[in-house]
Amino acid sequence: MKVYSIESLHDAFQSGKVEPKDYYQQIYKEAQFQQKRLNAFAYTTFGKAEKDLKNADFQNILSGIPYVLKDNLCTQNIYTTASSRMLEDYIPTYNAHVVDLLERQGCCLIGKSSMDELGMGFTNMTALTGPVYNPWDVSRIAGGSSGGSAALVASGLIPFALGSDTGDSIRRPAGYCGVVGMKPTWGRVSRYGLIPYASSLDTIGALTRNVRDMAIVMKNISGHDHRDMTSSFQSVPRYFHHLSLDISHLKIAFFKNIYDSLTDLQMKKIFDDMVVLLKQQGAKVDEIDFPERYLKSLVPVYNIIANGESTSNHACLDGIKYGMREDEKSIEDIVIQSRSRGFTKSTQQRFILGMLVLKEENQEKMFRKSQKVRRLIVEELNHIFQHYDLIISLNSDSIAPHIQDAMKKSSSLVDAQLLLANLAGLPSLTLPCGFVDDMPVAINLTGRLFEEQTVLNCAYALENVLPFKNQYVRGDHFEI
Amino acid sequence: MKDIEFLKQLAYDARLSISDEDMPSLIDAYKDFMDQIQILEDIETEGVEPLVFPFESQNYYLRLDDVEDIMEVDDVLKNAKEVQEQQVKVPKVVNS
Repeated sequence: MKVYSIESLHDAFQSGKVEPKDYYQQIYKEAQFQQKRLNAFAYTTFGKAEKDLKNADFQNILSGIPYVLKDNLCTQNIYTTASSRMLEDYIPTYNAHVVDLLERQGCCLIGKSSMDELGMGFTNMTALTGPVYNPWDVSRIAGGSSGGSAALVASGLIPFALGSDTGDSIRRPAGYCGVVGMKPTWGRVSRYGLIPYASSLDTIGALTRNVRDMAIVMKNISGHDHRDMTSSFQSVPRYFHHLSLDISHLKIAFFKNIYDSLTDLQMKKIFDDMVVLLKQQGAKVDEIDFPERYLKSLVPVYNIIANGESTSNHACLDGIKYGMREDEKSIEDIVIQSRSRGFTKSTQQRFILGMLVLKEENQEKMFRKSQKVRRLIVEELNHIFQHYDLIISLNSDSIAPHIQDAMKKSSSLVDAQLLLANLAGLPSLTLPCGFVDDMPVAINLTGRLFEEQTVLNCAYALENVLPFKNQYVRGDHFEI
Repeated sequence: MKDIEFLKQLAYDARLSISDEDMPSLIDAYKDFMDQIQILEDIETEGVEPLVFPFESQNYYLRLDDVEDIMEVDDVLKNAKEVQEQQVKVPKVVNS
C-alpha cells in the first residue's frame, strides 16, 4: 500500500491516479496487518468508512481522506469506550462536534484508536484492549494516552488521526512514534462529545506526518460551538494558507534549568542542533531561567487538579444509566461494584486521591492551593511571552521506554514541561527532530494563546530543513 | 492502620471498594501524593486568587435557560441495562 499525506492523497483522488475504492481495500488489509503488529485499534469501522466514501465528492481537501478517532470521541451508533471496561458496550447516540465537522468535510472513519483508560496515563498500558506497541520497535510503548492514534499515523496507514491532550497525551506519543502532534489553545476546538478527563486541561487535537497536513486538520476542527460553554468565539485563521518558512522575526526561549537537567548527551546534542538550525534561519534564541520552585510544582499542581476534576467528571459513571452494571441488590452496591470492577486499579487510585483533595476540609489547602499555584505559574509564563514568541524544549528526556520499564519511568523536568501548555491553555506542537538508538526524538514548540499560526510556522520552517517529513515505518524496515 | 481506614473511607466516598490486596499500592500512591502536596505548601500564595480555567476570557458565557438539543427518551434509554415503562429499572429502594 502506497503511503500518502492528506495533500498528496487528495491530489491522487482528484486526478484519478488512485481509485478510491481500490485504495480503501488496501487500507483495510493493511489495517489488519498493523493491528496484529501494533494493537492500536480499539475498533475498526470499515463499514462506516464504506458509507462515508460513497458520500465523498473529493472536491475539498479532506473529502475521501481516511482517518482514525481516539476512542474518547463520541461517534453516533459506534462503540465509544475510552478504553475502559466501564464503557465497554457504550454506544453514543450523538457525535462529538469534531466528528460532525470532519464528516461534513467527507472524511472516512476507518476506526477508533486505543488509549489509556479515560485518557489517564502516558504509556497506553492501561487500555482495555492491552498495550499499544511502538511502530519503530514493538518491544517499546507507543506512549499515551493517544497512543493508538500516534502508532497508526506513524505506520503510514492513515494521514491523520485525532487525539486529546490533558497533560501531554497527544504530544508524548507523537514524539515517541515520530509524528507531528498538536494541541490547540484551550477553547479553540469544541470539547462537546469528548469523554472528559479534566475539563480545565482537556483539549482535542491532531496527529499527522507533516506540518502542512496539521494546518489543514487544525483549521477544519477549530471554531466556536455553542454546545461547549468554554468554546472560543475567536476567528480561526486559515492556517494552511498562512504557512510561512520565514521565521527570522521570531524570538524563542528555552529554559536553561531544564536543558541542564538533560543527562543523555545524544539528546542534548539533538537539542543543540535544533537551536543552531533556528538561529541559521534568523530566529533569535535565548536561554532563560524558569523559577525552580514552579518547575518542581508542575507535576503536583497537575496531579491535584486533574485528579480532582476527573473524580467529579466521572461520578456519572455509576453503572445505572449506561455502561457496565454489576447485578447487586441495592443501588449503592450496583454503583460500588460496577465502578470497582469497571475501572482499572490505577484509575481507581486517581479517583480516591481526587476525592481526597475535594473533601470539604481539604479543598482550600489542597485543591484551591493548587489552583493558586497554577495562577503563579501561568503569570510567570505570560511574563515570558511578553518578550518571546515561542518556548522550545525536547519533547522528552528519553526515547520510548521498553514495555517492561514503562510504568517505572518517573516524570523528568523535560517531561513535566509539557504540562505548562495545559495549565496555561497554550497551543503546543511536537515535531520529529532526530533519532537515538533508531528511535524517534522530538522537539516541542509552545506559543501564545490563540497563536497556533506562529507555532505551525516555526515547525514548518524546522521541518523544511530536517529529513523527517512524512516519515513512517511499516514493519521490520524503516521507510522515509 | 490509620491510613488504611482513612483510605477505605475515601474509596467509599468515591463509590469504590478497595481490597486488602490492592491496599499496599494505594498507600504508596497516597504517600507520594501527600509529598506532592507538601511541595505546594512551600510556595507563598497569600492574596493569590485561584485560577479555575487556564486563562480569563471574555468568551465564557452562560447560555439562556432555553430548552435546546433535546435527547429523546428512547435515545437516553438505549444504553441502560434494564428498562421498564420508559424508565431505567433499579433494585427496590423502599422496604415493603
